[in-house]
Amino acid sequence: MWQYFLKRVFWSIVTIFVIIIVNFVLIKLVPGDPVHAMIGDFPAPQDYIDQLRRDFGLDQPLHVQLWLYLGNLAQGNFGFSFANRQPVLDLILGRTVNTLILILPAIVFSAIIGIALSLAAASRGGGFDITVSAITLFGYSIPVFWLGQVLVLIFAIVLGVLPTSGMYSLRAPQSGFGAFLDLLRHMVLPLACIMAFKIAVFSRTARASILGVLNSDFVMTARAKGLSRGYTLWRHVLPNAVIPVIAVFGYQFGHALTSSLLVETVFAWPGVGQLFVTAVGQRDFPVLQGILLLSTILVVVANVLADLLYTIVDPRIRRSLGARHA
Amino acid sequence: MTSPQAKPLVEISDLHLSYTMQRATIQASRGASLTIAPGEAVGLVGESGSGKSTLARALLGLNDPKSTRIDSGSIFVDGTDVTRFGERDWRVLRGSSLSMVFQDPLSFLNPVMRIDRQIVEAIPKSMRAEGVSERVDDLLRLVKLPQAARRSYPHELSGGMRQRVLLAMALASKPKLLVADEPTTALDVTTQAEIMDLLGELRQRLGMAMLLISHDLGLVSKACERIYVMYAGRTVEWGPGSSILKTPAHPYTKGLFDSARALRLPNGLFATIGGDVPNLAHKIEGCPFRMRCPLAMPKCTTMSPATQVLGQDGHWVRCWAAQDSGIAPAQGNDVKNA
Ligand SMILES: Nc1ncnc2c1ncn2[C@@H]1O[C@H](COP(=O)(O)OP(=O)(O)OP(=O)(O)O)[C@@H](O)[C@H]1O
Ligand SMILES: [Mg+2]
Repeated sequence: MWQYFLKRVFWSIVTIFVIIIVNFVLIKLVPGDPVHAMIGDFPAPQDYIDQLRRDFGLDQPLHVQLWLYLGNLAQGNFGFSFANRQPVLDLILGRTVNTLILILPAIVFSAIIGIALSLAAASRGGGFDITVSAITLFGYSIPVFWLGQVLVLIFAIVLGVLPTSGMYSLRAPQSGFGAFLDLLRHMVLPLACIMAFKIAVFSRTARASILGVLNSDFVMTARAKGLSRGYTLWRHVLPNAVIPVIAVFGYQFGHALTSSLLVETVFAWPGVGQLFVTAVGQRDFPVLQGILLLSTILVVVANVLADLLYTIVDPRIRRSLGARHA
Repeated sequence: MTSPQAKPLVEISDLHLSYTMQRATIQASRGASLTIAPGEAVGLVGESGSGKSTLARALLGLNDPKSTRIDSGSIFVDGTDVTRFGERDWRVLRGSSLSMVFQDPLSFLNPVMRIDRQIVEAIPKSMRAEGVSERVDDLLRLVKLPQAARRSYPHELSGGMRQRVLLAMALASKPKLLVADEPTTALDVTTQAEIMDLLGELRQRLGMAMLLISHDLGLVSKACERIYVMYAGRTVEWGPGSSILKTPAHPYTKGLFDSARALRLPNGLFATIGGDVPNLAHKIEGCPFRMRCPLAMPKCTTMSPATQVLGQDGHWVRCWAAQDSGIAPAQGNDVKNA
């Protein structure tokens, strides 16, 4: 089993490496002076430009340049954002944390709610099932930016109970529980926006898998034992039904990163999505490349973790992997 | 043990049951009747699709209530008619009087739950006083499973061991009746024999009744006191195993015997029952076996055969052609050549 994971990790590293190469090629493809691509549209001091030429050996052959580029990345040197007057790595790390504060709870809660809804629908059936399907369809089809604006209109402007945008209020406490509460209040609307879609996705996956499991023979065994329907759903159906749901975790994480572009723009959430949109506008290439690289790493890591979780939940996989690689 | 006077544990009378599907309604039971006395071993045989599992599931209320309807007939268990039972009533009955083991022990076990937990669940609340773990020990010993199997997952066990796990779960409630639906079909020959021996031994020890379902007449006649033969959703012949074995009266039963013995006909072909089981989505006038029957006569097309008794030992048959137990010897049943 560990060999399987070593193999997974190896291929993850290969994936990341490929993205680095793509990054490197992109620099080369931008028309004009490559130094320009590395700096962006902002005026940089002449000695920084000269230093970049030296660092990347722009007069050297391509493979040497790639080697130097890798060396820079390895040292955490992702370049400098003149638009933000900050080293790229510092900038995107902070922003990525802000995005994860939003995305991770969104995925976890959406999965829990989506699974719970489908489970309840499976146990109640009839009207409740139809209601859940309607909610799912709604979550699927509603555009995120529209939902965001409607939510702001209702909860921030008309009712005035939640902030319209941002992550912190200036007047709120800077630390402690007060600051946490303030953050939570800011999170509610963007979370709702991301989760509307995610709940739909998870409940659809869960619904299909629950229906499949309900038809399994071992559910009949549970009935033959005289177990109640609720207990059977909880102890037999659920553990089997979550397995395919976990399998889509990694993919859903990547998708949530993408949707953060829209949500963070609507709510002025200072995350990596918003940074990306701004950087595109400013032609801030170092930042764009940094985000591309970092989000690749995040998605790859998320997929490996989802795989790990998958093997923990399903003993059959644990064994077949053990047998194959022992 | 078989005394017809004893109040039956199970009495199914002229059961008609149908499955409703999107396109068709399948009448899977069309007049099935069966009784089981307390402690008795009863066999149920018939080709694939004849409705054996349907009947067994109906007896435990395990058919999906959404798509299954009992059209007529009755099922009495311990003197109570269960045809109108709701899921709640069934649960009580399944947790106490009735248990079932199934054909494919792997798919009938939860793949992500350890064996001991699955057995524990089957122990009724009322029997947990003496300690759950001890009870699991007892059950494992009863079905001759090693203690090491406790912490295993189903996929880690052999087919025979899995069937023993199903048995342990079924026995956990000390049932009065164990329904075994083709319990050895998925196993290799040696393991089959082991499981059959175990079933016989357990039945003796626990004094429970058993309904053994199989398409293997030989296997059933060894393990059971009485045998029911089922065709197209109805029971067509039943009686003491020895009597059915010696003097099968229904042409279908004879066909089953001949194909079981792989009887070679004079023309060198193996005897099989030609033709197919009729489509249970369609209504059938008269005798459902007449299309494949070597003895079919005009009456069979129009009139459903009456049930008639053969001799004194409770041997019954539903066939126009079977006049008495000494019916004409089996002719070649190879309808393909007829
Ligand atoms: N859940 C169900 N829904 C719809 N039709 C069913 C269902 N279960 C069985 N049937 C149909 O009912 C008929 C009888 O099936 P059943 O499984 O009772 O036969 P069987 O004698 O047990 O056969 P086998 O030896 O293959 O197990 C078949 O035509 C089958 O297709
Ligand atoms: Mg069957």
